[in-house]
Amino acid sequence: MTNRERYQTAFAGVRPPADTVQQALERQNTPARPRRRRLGRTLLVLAAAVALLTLTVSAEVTAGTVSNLLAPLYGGAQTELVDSIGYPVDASVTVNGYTLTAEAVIGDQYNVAMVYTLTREDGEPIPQGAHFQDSENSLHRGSGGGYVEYVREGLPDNQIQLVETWTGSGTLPFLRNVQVVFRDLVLYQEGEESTLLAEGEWELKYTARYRDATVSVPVDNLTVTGTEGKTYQIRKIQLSPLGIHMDIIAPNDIPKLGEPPEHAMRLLDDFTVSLQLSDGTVLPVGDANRGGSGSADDETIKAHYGALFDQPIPLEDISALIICGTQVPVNAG
Amino acid sequence: MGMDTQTMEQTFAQYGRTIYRLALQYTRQPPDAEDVLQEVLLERCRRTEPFQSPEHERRWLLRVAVNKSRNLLRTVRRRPTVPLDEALAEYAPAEPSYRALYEAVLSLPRDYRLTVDLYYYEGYSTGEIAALLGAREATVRTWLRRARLKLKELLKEEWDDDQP
Repeated sequence: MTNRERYQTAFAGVRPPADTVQQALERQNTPARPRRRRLGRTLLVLAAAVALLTLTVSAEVTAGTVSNLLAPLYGGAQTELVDSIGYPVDASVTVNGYTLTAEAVIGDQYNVAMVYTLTREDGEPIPQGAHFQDSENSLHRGSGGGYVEYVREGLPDNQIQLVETWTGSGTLPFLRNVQVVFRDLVLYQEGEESTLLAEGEWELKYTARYRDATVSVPVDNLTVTGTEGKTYQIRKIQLSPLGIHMDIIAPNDIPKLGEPPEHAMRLLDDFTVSLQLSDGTVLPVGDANRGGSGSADDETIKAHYGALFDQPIPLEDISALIICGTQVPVNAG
Repeated sequence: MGMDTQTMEQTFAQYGRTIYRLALQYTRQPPDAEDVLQEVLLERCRRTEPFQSPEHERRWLLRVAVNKSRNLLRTVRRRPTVPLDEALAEYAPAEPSYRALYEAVLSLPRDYRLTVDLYYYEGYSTGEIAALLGAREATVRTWLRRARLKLKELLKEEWDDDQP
């Protein structure tokens, strides 16, 4: 049997739902219906795999407040943990008939996430595909990466929520005043120029007052080998229930002048990280921020790896990190 | 709506599995792959210009599927994926060696997964895959080479690199 035949047999079971045409017709006939992104099954699998940890909730915040506000981020999972780390913000600004409210913030030394609600004050629906043209956040300093997700599920038609995340290469200045600006609400349509819905700047100021639960994971001359044979020296591992950060000495894969842009993919491209939980479950860390700096003539460079987890995980439930196949115990208990 | 329904049903019958499988390789989330498939079917019904051939129509549908998947990832947060969660497990074959191949392919980086799928399942050349994905052919050849190396590492003697 050829590889092609084996591949086709292996994937022969992948089939779309039988009612796809009906679903598509319903979508066509009700264009204002909010796009439903069903998160339930995957998130429920992860939540069921991790035991809840009982924690003392801060007296300043009613139990469940922050986890409810951060539900677009974590889907309501790990409520006690989220309530113990995150913090409500409740800052609002109205521009051109749209009110943007910063609901709550959560983060650690390298990662921060914020949930906002955008409300159209006249009660009319916010069109599908509406988003801010650009934004700035004073917390997102230096190198790093993140994104803004637009969520509509479970909301009235005149509201959308924004989940903004950032993973920095260096420590974030939490417990500081933050200034964030979103500009120009536009409508994106496939194959067409964006349409301006509301011009203006929505500026918010708040204090990133979340509780930092970051711990250091001991690394003693740890050297690992990536899936393509590259060698990495792990200098530092910082772990929190929300994410992970590593400082790494890596082979110099920074693209040289004149190299094709896809060579930027080589830095840490075979560097893999998974979380081993105390119940035996292994969760690969997928989307991560990878970067580095150094001289083009150096054989190695200082690199960093960072990621915000899909779900918060109590540190007591993480028994080890698996870095390029090497198990690193997490003595966080 | 009769003509729209007929076109949509015919497209779904002929290409639905291919489009869904490609969208699933792109997003690794069955609900998102379903959304992409529905969007592709709607785009197909909106098209008035005739296709030059059945292959022309197939490639057009796949390009639209790639673009829809890409747009979805731009505006919807991507969550870290797991190698075989409950949702993907429902499609996994029961026979262990095929299941291992299924899991191995789904564990590859996205560009490798797409290249492997279009190469091994759809039978496209690296040049044709490059056109579908909007990449350079040299890049696609690199993706295919790395994907094969990874599959060989994961599957060992179950993956024969000397085979087509």
